[in-house]
Amino acid sequence: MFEIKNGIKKYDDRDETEVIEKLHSVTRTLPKNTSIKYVLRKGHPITAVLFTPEMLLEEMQLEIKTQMNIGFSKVESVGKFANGKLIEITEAWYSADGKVDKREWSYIVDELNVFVMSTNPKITHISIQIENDIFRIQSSPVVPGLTIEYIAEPENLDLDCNDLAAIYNFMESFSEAKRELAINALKKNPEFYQKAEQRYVNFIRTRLNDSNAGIERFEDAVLTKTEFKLFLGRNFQNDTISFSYFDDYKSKLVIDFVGSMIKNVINIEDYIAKAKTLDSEEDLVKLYDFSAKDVKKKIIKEISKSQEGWFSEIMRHIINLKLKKVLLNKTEIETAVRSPVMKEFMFFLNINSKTSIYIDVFQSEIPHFTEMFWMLRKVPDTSWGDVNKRIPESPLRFSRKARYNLEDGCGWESVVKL
Amino acid sequence: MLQQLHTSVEFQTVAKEIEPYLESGEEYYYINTNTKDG
Repeated sequence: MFEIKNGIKKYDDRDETEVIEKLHSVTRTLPKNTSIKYVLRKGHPITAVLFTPEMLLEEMQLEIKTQMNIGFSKVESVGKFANGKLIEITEAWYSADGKVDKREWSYIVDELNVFVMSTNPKITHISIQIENDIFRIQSSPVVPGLTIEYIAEPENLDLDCNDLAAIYNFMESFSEAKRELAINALKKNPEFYQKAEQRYVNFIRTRLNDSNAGIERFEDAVLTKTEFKLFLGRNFQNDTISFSYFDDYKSKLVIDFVGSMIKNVINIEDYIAKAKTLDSEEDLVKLYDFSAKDVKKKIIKEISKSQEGWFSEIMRHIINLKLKKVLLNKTEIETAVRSPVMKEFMFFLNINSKTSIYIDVFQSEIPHFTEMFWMLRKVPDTSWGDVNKRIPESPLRFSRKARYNLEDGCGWESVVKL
Repeated sequence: MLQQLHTSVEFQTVAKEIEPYLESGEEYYYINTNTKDG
C-alpha cells in the first residue's frame, strides 16, 4: 500500500508518481513484508521508521476510520489467511441509514499481511470491528497482548457419504473442513474414488507439476476464492479470454485448468495422430467438429454431476464462452505455455466457433502455440505488436494458411505451411 | 536494519532526488510496504 498522508495538494500527478517510485525503490531493498514510514522535510535528511505490529494496528484503525468519515457508522472485516498470506477478505460497511455495503476487498490488505507475518504466520483468521470509536481485533490463534480470540461461525458439516454430488460439492467448497470430509468419504468408496479421480486428477497433476499426484493432493491444488473469481471475471467474458497483465502464475493457472478440463475427455495425442494422417482440410474440419462436439457433450455431462462447487462453475463458464478473441497484452506466459496440457488448451479455442480465433500478442512474452495451432477447425489469425512473430511448423500433410498482422501498418499477411 | 537503510547508497540517492519535489516548511510522510520477494 502507498499512502500520502499530508501534502497531497503539493504534488501534481507526475511529481507524485516520481516520488512514489523513488521511495518504492528504497522499500524494495527491505525484507519482504516490512512496512516503513518515511518522513520528508525540505532541507532535512529523510527519516524512516519501521512499523511494529502495534503501529500496524494503529494504522489499520486510522485507515478504516478515515474511510468511514464519508458516512459509515460501523465496519466489520474478516480476513482468512493461509501460510501467512491473505487469501480471502469480506467486509461489511454499515451506513448510518442502515444500508450495508458488502465488499470483498479492503484498504488494509498489506497491513494485514505484514501484521500476520510479523506476529504469527500461522494465523488463519483476523476479524476487525470498528464502531463508535471502539476498535476490536480478534485473531485465530490469538496474538498475546494485541488481539483477542477469534471464534469462527460453525459450519454445517453434515455430508451424505452415499451422495457423490454432495461429496463433489464439499470437495469444491472453500472450506478446508468440508474438503477433508469429502476426501475421507471418497477413500472409503472405491467406485466414487475412481469417478472423482477422473474428474480432478488431471487438474491436480498439472497444477502441481507432479504426474503421480492423486486425489489425496487435492488440497494442495485447490483454488482460492480469488483464483476462482479470476475465471468468472472480466478476463473471461462473452467472446474473449484476456491474459492481459497476467503474470506467469495466472497464465499457467488458466492454461492448466482449461487444458485439464479438455484432457479429461479427449486423448489429444490420438487426435493429433489422426490429424496427421489426413489428406485434406475438409477431412480435418470433419475430425475437429466431431471431436469438439464429443468433448463438449462429455464436459457438460461432468458439470451436471455437481451444481454448486467452484470446479463445476468454472467449467460451466468456460465451456459456454463463444470465443473469438484471445488477448495477450503485457503478459508473462513463458512458463505457462510449457504446461503439459497446452495442446489441450489450444484444442479448446475453436470449440464454440466456426471461424478463426483472433490471437493478439502485444508486448508480451512470446507464446508457443504448439502444433495444435494448425489442427483447429480454422487456423487462428494472429497479431504481433512489439514482439517477434512465432508461428509453429505445421505437421499436416496438406497446406493451410495462417493470417497474421505485424501492427506495422502493412495490414494482414499470410503464411502457408505444408 | 534501519541504520543500514539510512546509510545505504539507495537511500542517500533517493533522498537527493526527492529534495526538489519538496516545498519549504511542509512535512510529508509516506507509508510503504515491501510485499514482494527480492
